[in-house]
Amino acid sequence: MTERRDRYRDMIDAGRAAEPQAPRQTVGDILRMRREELGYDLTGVANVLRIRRAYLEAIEDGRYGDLPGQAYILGFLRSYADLLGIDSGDLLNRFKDETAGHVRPAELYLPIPVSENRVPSGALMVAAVVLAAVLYGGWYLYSSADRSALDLVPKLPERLAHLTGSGDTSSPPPANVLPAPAVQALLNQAQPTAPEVGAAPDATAPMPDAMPGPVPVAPAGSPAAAPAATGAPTPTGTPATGPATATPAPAGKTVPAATQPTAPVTSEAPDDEAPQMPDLGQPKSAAADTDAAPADTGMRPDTTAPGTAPVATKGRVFGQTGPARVVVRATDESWIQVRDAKGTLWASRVLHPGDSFRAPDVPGLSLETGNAGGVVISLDGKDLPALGAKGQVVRSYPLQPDDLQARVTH
Amino acid sequence: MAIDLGTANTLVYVKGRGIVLNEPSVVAIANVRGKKQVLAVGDEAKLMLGRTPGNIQAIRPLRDGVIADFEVAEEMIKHFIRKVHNRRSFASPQVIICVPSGSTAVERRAIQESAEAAGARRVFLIEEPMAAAIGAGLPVTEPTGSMVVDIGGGTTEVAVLSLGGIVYSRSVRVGGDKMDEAIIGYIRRNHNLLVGEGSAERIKKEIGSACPPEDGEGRVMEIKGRDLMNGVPKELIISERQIAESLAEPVSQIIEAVKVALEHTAPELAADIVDKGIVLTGGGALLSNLDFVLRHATGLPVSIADDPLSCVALGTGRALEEMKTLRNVLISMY
Repeated sequence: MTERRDRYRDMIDAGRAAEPQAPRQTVGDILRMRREELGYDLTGVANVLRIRRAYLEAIEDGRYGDLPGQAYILGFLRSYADLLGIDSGDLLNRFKDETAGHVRPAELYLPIPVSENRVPSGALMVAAVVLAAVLYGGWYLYSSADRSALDLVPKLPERLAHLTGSGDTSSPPPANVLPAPAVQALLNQAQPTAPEVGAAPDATAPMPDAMPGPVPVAPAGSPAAAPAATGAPTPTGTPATGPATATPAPAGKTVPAATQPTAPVTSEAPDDEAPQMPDLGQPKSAAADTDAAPADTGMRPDTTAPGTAPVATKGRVFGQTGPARVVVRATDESWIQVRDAKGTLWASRVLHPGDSFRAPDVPGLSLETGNAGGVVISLDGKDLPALGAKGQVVRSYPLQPDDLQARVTH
Repeated sequence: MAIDLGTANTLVYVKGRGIVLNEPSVVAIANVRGKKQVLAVGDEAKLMLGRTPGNIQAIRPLRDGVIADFEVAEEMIKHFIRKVHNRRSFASPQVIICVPSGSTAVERRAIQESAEAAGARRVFLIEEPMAAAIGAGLPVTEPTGSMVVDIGGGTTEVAVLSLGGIVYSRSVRVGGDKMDEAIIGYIRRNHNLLVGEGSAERIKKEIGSACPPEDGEGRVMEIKGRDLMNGVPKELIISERQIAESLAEPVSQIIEAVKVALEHTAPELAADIVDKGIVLTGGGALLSNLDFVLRHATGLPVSIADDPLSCVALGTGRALEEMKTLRNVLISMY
């Protein structure tokens, strides 16, 4: 075997030496020459090697593209070379040189399942996040718009307008309202750092007249503030709105808040103000406290204002400040909503037993309640018959005195 | 880093650098005052195999393609990773290790955990026949059947692959080790001579053949061992024919496995295999005339892969290089 191989190699070398410019022998040529030299038949070789005759022909002709792949070509070549007694290592190197750049190892591409939805998952995720953000933003805007409708503030009633000190004092103040200087004095009292501190004694001068009886005077507080706070003998408690509305005046913006219809700036205000007087007297937190005071008083139920409000002896009072012809009183937990003809919301809240709502004199005012048996409407102090049974929902019940009168007489 | 954790040899392929380590899977452990310490790993340890004093143990932690001794295997993997890993990069390497297709989930998990404990960041497993086929350059991802027979040290894997997956695989625990054992047994029975594993391996490599020569005794070789009759060292001459006779048993088991695999192959894939044939990889493919015997037994073209010893490592390495496209062939036990 080795002799043959050597002889063969000599032959190749001789051929190469003789014709250096001749085209290089291809692997196929070498194999074919060797096979013919040995006198083997291609079919016989195919039978022995079990390699298909077509593949062997392709190898001899150098048509490697017809063969299954590089790995198999190498294997076939090795088998063929071994059978013919050719050094397979040499032949394979020659083959690799020959096909450098032509035959490459199998490319590996794993089949990936085609996603059924054409949108890539990453884009889908981004789209979902954006959509969620948009939805949330929309909802937020929508809900905050609703809230702003609730917070809608009506115009400052004329009676109170002059208290803001804006100069709009054209309408004469009601008799029981504190004169502006007094209010100013109160303000000064609340903020001792203000330069008009000296005005406080002047303000106190007229106040004792208004003091009907023994009143708890704030111990460390200012003498002016206490009379002012307690100087609210009138049932409506309007004077009380003096301190309530005046105190935030330095803060400026809180004035409307204090006068909004839903805020019970009536008789309970003095009660809340009185204990706070020492605080107000303290310079460091004066502004903050006065700022917070109206908001607080709005939420705090009135418990210690005997006889100041004839309509609502107990419980909070909402709606119009001052006497009203129509008052909605709750005898049970009941939700009410009051709108006028234009759809402006006047009240939307739950009334606890004893709470009442004074209907302002606005055209087309109507009531909606979730518990018709829990509210009683009184017209000019007289209770009207019940709206309905407990738990019954009543909508668009008119709150105009005339309409109510008509209903009663009917 | 791709590791071909073989029963006989461990090869490590590093991304962009190729196969950087090829050492026997042997660990020598010294018992120092009751504490076990790794003395040597790889080539050094292999020289100690069978020649150790009482306080040193030369252990092959893998048997039949799977880890038989966890602690020692972990030490070995750790040693190899440390040896090839670039110290300058702080990241611990991502490792792909191949496992026999016939290994159980417990065995796979054991290998994965060992590699993780040895300091790998992430461990993936790949089935050996798949790695071998990729390494041999077979078109495994095409819709055409390819059959690969990987004869390793501990196991022989026969698999039919198509579309990037294993259609059928069969793993028999016959490999180089079983051949060595067969040679040892044969010589002991017929010549009353006991030879070591190392000697048997050398005999196999030099004059081992899957079928006896057509005429005569073939190549001959001197072997040394211990005479069982009188207990003295002895030397005798053994021929290729005798070794072929001794190897008949393991070879027939391999042929049987291939035949069974062919029986279980779907007709379309069988048609592909008839055209292209079987590719032999692994150290066992170097056993002379094995391709001839297989060709004769199956009637199919049988070719030996280029560089059969490193096919699995190359294939595992390619899976590492092309992790994105070949992600599907990787397995993680978690």
